[in-house]
Amino acid sequence: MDSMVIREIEKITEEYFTLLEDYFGTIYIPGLDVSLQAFRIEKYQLASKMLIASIEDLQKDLFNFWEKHADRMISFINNSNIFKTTYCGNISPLNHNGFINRTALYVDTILIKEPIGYLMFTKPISTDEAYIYNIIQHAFNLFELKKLFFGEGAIPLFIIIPPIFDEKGQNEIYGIAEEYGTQYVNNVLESDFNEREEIFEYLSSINDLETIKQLIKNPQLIDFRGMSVEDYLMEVHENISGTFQNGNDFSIGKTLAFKIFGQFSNISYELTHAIGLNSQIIFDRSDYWDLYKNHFIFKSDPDTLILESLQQSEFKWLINYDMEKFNILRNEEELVQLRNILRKNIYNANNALTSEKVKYQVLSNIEEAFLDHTFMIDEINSKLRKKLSVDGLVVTGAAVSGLIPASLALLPLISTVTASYGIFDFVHQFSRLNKEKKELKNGVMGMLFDARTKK
Amino acid sequence: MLERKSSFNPKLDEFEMSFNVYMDYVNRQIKKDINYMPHPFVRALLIAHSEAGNGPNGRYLGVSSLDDSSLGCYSVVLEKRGDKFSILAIQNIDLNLEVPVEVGIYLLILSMRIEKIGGNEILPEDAVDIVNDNIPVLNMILFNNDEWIPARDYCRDVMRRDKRNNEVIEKINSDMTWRDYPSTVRSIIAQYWILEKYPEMLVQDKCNITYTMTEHTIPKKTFLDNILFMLCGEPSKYFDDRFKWTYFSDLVSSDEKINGKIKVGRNHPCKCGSGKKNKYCCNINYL
Repeated sequence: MDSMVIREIEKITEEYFTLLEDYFGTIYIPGLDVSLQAFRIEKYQLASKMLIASIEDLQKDLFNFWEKHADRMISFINNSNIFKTTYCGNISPLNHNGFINRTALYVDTILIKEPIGYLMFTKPISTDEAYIYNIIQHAFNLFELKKLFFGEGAIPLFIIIPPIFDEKGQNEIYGIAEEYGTQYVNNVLESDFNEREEIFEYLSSINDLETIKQLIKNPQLIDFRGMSVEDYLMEVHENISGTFQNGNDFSIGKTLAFKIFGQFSNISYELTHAIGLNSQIIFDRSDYWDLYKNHFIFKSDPDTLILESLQQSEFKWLINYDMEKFNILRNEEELVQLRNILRKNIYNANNALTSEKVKYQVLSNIEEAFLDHTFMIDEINSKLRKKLSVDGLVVTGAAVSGLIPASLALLPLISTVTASYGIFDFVHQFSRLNKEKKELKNGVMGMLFDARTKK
Repeated sequence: MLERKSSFNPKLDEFEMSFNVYMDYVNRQIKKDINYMPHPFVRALLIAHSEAGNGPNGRYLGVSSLDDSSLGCYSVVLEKRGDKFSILAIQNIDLNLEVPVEVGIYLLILSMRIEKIGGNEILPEDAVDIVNDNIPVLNMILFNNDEWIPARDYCRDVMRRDKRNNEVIEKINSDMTWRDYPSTVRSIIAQYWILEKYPEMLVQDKCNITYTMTEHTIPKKTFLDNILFMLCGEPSKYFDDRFKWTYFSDLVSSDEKINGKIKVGRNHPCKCGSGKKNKYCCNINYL
């Protein structure tokens, strides 16, 4: 990506953050967990009301902002030959479980739909508490991630993209969500509903846990996140009914329907973005990965599978590396190199790729890269040791010989010059080797190596 | 700008947060219109703060400009200690009412809301919606003026039957029009009517207020003064269980000495030993 284009993107991003800081800057506490801050503000009923009244104009300001910049931003992204992914999952990427750390290794950039304007559309149906909690959590999360929107000369890790405003786009999303969501429900319940409305009508009439449990004929299709079916259904019911203004009237069946179609709407929305922007799609939640792979038209693409494998528990150690330091180090060359390392020996011959195979290959590739890295450092250490013992003696010897009295005419002069040159050469080479070693250790591979060995 | 006192106080924390949000709002409005004026109590506070500025420790008084009182005239007493500032009192001068912390926040929210409605007047329906959306302790019910005749007749019959409030009954004269009744009589008639005909409009645990309006619109200042009066004027003492206000003076420790005197909060037990709150008894500020 051209450096001029990067600068233009960052100018737009700076303007976006200035706009958000005008609204939220004085109540944001840097470094404090954003969920806690959101919780604190949500609990203050009066302050929440004040905030809701105060940010009413933000929706209009964001609309005007995108009217001015949307086309240019889309054009910059579409015309760039970079490896981009569209983020899907939470409203903005919360770095729970190190999602950002894991993904940053493989991509040039992650595209995020502008979250605050998106959330403001939910105001008419949300409770004040849910609305304020989400707005604060995600606005503050953006502040926490702000540095990653600026690439220090390289492509920024995050780029903010405009939400899909137009009716045609919205209808397209709705259509995809309805088609795949209905199919999914029919698979789970072994039913034959034709459309979303029928499903809502049917499930809304059921408020009994046991009845719903009996209805679920294929529970293996639902990611219960380690919970029992009952606990999962109750958690979904609590979360969703607490979010909507009339949520107290929702049955357990209705909240399940909302959950399912919510997931499909979310995936459809970002898939529409990804197709429009020629990008991969990436999820920070295992349930979304499963739904996408198993219930949308999915080709086992190596890049998608590699991105998924990086989210697995085997790569948990990736959480240990400093994201901000990585952001400074990363450049286009390093990223291509890293991708090549991770992608080595992964080919999609005859669509034979599976998540498991890819995961183990990536693990193996990283191990090999670490071995190479260790070997290179060892080699330098070995050279340094030799230099110290051999050249050190020569330099010392030369320095001593340089002290021979002047009566021997030219000889002392030559030896002094030789000594000086010898010392200079020694210092220069020693310093070069040390520098090489330092660059290796402080480079991306060194950083990852330290992250892996950190307890 | 506002600093916490000795230990964490959630009321003060909430006020500070709300105040900072409001000031962000003011800054944005000023960017759009250089002549924008914040709420008069905030102006009074800024004046006091500006006076305190580089001045010595002590108390400073700010009063909002008397010639620009579109939303009323307020005074603020600010105390400076080093680089810390604390509000000691906010007073509405027109109504002679001290404004509690929570009501201060309500005033700012209401002023932001009514600003979105152009002009100096507001429709009663909008006024009631704004109050009900933003003040959780109040439930305002707008009386339908078209029902005034059956309401009047009902109220008169009930009072005659119960043989009470003879003064009110005398005032309910069949030749008078709705507009001619004193506002207190209109309120009584409306309340009786709502209780009888529309009990589902009442909300438990809130202060239910029946609002009667004879004009098509109400001046914004009058609207805000009415709300202020309902929340912390004379009638509010009957709703102590719902209006659990904190006054700025309560946030000063009751044992704290200012100029050698002990500060007594308005909500603290009166020092005479009556058991009543200071504000309803001797109302002494210092001992």
